[in-house]
Amino acid sequence: MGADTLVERLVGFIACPDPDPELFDVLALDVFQYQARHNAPFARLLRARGRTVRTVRHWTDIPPVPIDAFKSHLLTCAPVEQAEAVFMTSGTTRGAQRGRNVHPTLRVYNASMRTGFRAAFMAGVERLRMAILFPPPSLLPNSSLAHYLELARASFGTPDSLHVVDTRGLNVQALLRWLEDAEAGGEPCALLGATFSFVHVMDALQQSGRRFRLPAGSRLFDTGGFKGQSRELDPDSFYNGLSETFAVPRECCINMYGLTELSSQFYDRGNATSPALKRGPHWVRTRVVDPLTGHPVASGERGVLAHWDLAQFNSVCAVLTEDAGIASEDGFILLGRVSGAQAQGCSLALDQFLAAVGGNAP
Amino acid sequence: MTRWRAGWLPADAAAVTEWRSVPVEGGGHPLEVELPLLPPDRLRALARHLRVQGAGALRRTSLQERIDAIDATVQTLLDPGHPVRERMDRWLPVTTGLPADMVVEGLKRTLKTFRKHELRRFLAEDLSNPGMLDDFQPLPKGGFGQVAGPPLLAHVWAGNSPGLPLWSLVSGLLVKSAGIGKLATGEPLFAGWFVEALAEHAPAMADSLAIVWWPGTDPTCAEAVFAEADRVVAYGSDAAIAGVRAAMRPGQPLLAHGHRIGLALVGAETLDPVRVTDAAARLARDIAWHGQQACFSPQMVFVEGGGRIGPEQFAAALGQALDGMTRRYRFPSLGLEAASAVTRWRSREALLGHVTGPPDGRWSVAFHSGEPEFAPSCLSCSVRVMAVASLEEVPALLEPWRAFLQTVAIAVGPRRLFDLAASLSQVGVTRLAALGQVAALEAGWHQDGRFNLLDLVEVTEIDQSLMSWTETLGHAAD
Repeated sequence: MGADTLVERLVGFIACPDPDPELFDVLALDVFQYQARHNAPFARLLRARGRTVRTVRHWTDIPPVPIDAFKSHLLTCAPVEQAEAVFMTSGTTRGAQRGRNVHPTLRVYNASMRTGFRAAFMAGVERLRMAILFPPPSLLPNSSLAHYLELARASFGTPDSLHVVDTRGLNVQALLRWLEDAEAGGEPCALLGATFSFVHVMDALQQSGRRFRLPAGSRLFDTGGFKGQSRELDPDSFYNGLSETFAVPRECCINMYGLTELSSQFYDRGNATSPALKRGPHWVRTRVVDPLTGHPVASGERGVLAHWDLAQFNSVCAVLTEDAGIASEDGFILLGRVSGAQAQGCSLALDQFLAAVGGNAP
Repeated sequence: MTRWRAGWLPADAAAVTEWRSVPVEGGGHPLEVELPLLPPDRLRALARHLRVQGAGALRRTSLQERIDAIDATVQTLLDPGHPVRERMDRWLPVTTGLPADMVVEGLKRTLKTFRKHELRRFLAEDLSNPGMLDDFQPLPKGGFGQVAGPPLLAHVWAGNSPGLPLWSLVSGLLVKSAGIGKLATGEPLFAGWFVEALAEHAPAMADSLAIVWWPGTDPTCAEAVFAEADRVVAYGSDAAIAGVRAAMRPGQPLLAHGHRIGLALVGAETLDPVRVTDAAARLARDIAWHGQQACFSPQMVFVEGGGRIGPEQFAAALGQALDGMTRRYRFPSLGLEAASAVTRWRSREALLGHVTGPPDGRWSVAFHSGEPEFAPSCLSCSVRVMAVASLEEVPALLEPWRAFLQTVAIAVGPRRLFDLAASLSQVGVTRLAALGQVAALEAGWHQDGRFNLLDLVEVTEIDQSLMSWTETLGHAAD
């Protein structure tokens, strides 16, 4: 099947309001076969695992690829030079290898994003007045989050929505004006941004002793964790802080879990309690697995999250993350990073070695 | 639930009032270890007390007495029926998370390294005349000299090797230094139990030691200890050692042993059908020792082409040997973090070459015939085997990584050994061992090229000219 046909079918499946689960199985094999044929490093990994197009009969047979492979190899079916977008993971220092997820067209990514976001965040409303606590794509052209948030603004934001982060960082004055207008306006509105940006905002507002009462129906959206860019808070402290600062109840604070190495996202239904259950859309399947075998762990056991994301038609649709989780009936509980086992002895393991040399490894 | 209190305090020190409870999981038996927590002012007082009372008591002992006491302690602990040894055999596998038979084997070997005749090796290795530790002895340069360690040595231990504290503890005692040591949370029981056994034979020596703990995140405790200590010996990661330095006084001497990456070199001499199985078995032993977590554990293997057995075949033989070795010593199953690291590593290696290893991840051997390079592994008995045209090309590619180098396990014939050793030493390698023998640390081992005793002591010398002069000032009746 050619890329164009695949794209059409995926966009159609994503848009389907009442999807047939068997269609997932069919499409999954189509995407897999396309990737096995055209993505050379993926083909090598398949051979190493003793899987072939013949022996993969069901999406559960598709071996999930560790996200680390995006750093060491270019995982793509279509040439990267013709891509509409290349999203890159954040590098640590100069010379560090950044993972690349190549999108020959953003049609599928955008369809996935819009469908998921509308269902999880908009609560039946067409458009909300938004402030984005993250740089626009013009400043971070390879950031999937920048693209995601701009797409949210463009697709679901009112015309007076805006970004409040520019080249100099968070524009506190612009944000304060936006918040004052929002408070006075009485219409529901939304603040969207990186988790660490919210910490900065809360700290800045606390320093100037300010709080806001955003109108009823307002919602907050955070994603990405602290990433060493702000002080760390436990989930309860974070969401209590948001609730107190903006008078938005915790159940209207939505957290999104996404990766540069995926093309779809996962949402909870608010954070009245934490950690909140995360769910994915009908074109994604998630399992909590033993990373070595790829097999699901026993129910209630801690394992590593693996996702089969059909929107990811160009790189690899089955991805093994470095996040730990526990499976639940309707979704999963995200527990946090699992990588970077601390060396117990006196030998320096690869992870620490790479950290020590700042990614300038052979 | 078994509960053990770790550490040791001298008999005349006030009792510990606060303990930090650390549950130890995964060892098959629920265990809680309590670490002795002293606030900075008490640590400082304790250190001061050791520096005066403890060192004073040690100075009243002779070298022979100290050797005999350590030897008696070691012999006691080599008796598997002794209650302290029984405790060690039972609980060190739980604290370390390593196979019980491997821990006991390692414990016996470590203890034997500190028997009387081996202690003499430590002394002979560093001091031309160990008698200098007792009194002034003639110096080769002329005149007389004596050596002594500082009154108080501070030790900061790390990792999960039970025997590790012994090296610096014994060295300190031999040179008459009292000691205050910080336990490693990775294995907190051995050090205190050793001193408990020492107290049976030489209470005064045991009372010159304190083994405590403080949180690594709290610099005030470390500062209090280092303010009173004369020198510091520290083990650990770069970050841990940087933390130690930051808490020390400016210019205060530090002997640091950081984390390292080991490797192995296999020459064509070994690669014939007769020798190769033995070589692979030996190397597997080195890799499997302590789950590859020791500073000397090989993480990568350079195999020379041109033998009757090729590098790729050697990799296969190594895989078989590791399979046997990891079955023989029953390692606990990998936790999620280690399993994730192994998966990541195996996937990378599969894209570069090919990898073998069981589904449970307990060992992995990768082989790729591309350019050989410095290739640390994810541990858990994982190695990359690389082919080289000749071993003599390896030192050059190691050069950029000298900060991480220490031990090389090597299999070459005698004609090449010295030249290779010279090239390797130029890039920072400080120890060459036979395959299968990396864990067999010899008494007097110069860890990271340092000196166990010499790096602790100072010489006090009496000039030869003073000896001549003093004669002229003899008693008037002369």
